[in-house]
Amino acid sequence: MHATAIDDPILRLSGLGRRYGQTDVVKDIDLAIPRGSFTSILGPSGCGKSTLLRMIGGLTLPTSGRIEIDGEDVTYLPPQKRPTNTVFQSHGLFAHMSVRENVAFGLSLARRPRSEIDDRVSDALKLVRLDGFENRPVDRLSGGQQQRVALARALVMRPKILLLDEPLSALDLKLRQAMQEELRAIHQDAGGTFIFVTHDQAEAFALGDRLIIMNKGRIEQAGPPGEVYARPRSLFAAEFVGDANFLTGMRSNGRVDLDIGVCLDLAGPDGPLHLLLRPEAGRLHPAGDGGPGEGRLGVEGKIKEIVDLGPFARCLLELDGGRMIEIAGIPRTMIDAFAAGNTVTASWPRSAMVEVAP
Amino acid sequence: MSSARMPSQRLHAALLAAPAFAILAVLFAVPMLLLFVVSFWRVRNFALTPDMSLAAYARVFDTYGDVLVSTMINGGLTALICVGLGFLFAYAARFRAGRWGDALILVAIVTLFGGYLVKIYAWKAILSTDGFVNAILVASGLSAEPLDTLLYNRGAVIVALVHFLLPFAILPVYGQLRNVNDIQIEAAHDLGASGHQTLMRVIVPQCRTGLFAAFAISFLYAAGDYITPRFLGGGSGSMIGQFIAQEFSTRFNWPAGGAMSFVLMAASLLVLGLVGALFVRRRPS
Repeated sequence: MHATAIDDPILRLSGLGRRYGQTDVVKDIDLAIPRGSFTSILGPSGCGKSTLLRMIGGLTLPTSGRIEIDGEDVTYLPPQKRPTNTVFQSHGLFAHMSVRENVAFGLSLARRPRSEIDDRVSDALKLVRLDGFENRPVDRLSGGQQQRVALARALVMRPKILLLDEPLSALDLKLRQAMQEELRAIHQDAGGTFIFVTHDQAEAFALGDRLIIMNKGRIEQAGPPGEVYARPRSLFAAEFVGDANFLTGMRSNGRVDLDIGVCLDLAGPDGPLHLLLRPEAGRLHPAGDGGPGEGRLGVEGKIKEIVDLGPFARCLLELDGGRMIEIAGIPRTMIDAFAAGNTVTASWPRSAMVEVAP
Repeated sequence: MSSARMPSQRLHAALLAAPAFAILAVLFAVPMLLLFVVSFWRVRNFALTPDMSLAAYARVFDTYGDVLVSTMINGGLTALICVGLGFLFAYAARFRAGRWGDALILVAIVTLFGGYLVKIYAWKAILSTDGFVNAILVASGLSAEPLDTLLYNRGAVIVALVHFLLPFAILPVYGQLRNVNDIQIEAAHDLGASGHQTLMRVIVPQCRTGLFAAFAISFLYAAGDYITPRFLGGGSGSMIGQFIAQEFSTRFNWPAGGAMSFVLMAASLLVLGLVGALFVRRRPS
């Protein structure tokens, strides 16, 4: 599948698995990561994403399968022999060292010449905007600064693959967003391949140019974030990357009978099916605006609840028969046109409904 | 912290520290001060006479110089062995024993129940000519007849002191090793460090003060001990504490005992100072 579509990947995993006792934490992963990409691995906690990352970095050994980095088999190499470096969730800075000593640690172990170490350390600290902090002890830095030191400590090694294991999850929202910006900029400036693990879908979308959804030790879907969002391959993927309405229906001879009381034509095999409708694809029609136009599907319902989120509002609509549908992205200017209890029409483009495998 | 609260906080701190401070002052500082004064006095006809004499100090170096050096060596060796074994034990408990780490430490502490004299007598029995070690040596054919050289020497003293002091050395090292988190060790490997480099550059530096505390406790105790050398020391294992005890108990020569005590203390602090300079690195500022 997608794994074979990438020419000359920096990383290739084949049949990779990790078993603890009777449990497969990671199972049968086939994956290729393009050179220079920024990949986000997204999944709920316990889905095996951190274990997968640790196997790539050599911190956990796989129980089956193979890992190749740049064409070389590294499956059973210890971390110190791999061209990877990791930024950990709880940074793991050396508490007895200054910022400079932390960042220089790997290079001094590699016995690089003094002048080279000095240059590369100061470049790395500039990159994470910590120049001037060289002699600070790391325990007197803020959480964000500490995580930047950890980033510099890994980046200074110029790894072929930089592994980031939820490095921002301990930070507060504002700082996290600022650090996401910085990470993107650093990826642009420093180059190299980044793999970023997170359970936060907004973060995964903000950062990666590729997105991998993991669930129960397997890859649910991999691809560009926009594609995963628009055309999720499973109910799990659809739900995990955003809010979703699932319309269920029955198809026979290309005609689909939906549970919201409408029928439409959609080619495919006979039997039950699920259609995904993103809440923001729909809109509400205030009385007298003419109703849904050409190519749109309209339903009537009663507003159960309307929540003002600031820039936009979100609305829960109860259709005949009690079926609930969520419509989001209602513009500020229109909020006043709707109130709980009103009967309104909601509509969306027919093309906004995407069939999803259960 | 508002400056208005400072005085009450200081008072609070003073109250908390007061009981321990009182005990240390009354039972340690005051007697020390008295002894220091007395060490410049003289004894005439078995009576203490106030004086400003350095005779007692001169005599320490004339008569007990060798014993003092030997005491420092015994104390130093004991402390080094305790620090080494203590570190290994604490390391195993922290990094290799998993969830049994704390249980191992508890076991180490429990061995203190044995008491101190019991351990001395135990070693006396173990190392004696009809003791356990000799029985094995003879039975295995390593020695034709029992060795009488196991007891009454420096080695016997150090073995018994290490046995007694080891738990005291383990505790401070373990306490600090618990602050080294596993992520730091993974990060060190990730950055290219071998197991040995991780130990020397990440783990040991972070328990320097614990190692020094272990050394200081073992050393001060061992160098000041006068019971172990008396029972197990013989000639080569004798230590200055024995002679200090003698001056006080049988010779009633308080100035001599006092002077010897202060010389021992000065020598011990000197050793600790030198070792401390090696152990404790200054933090980056």
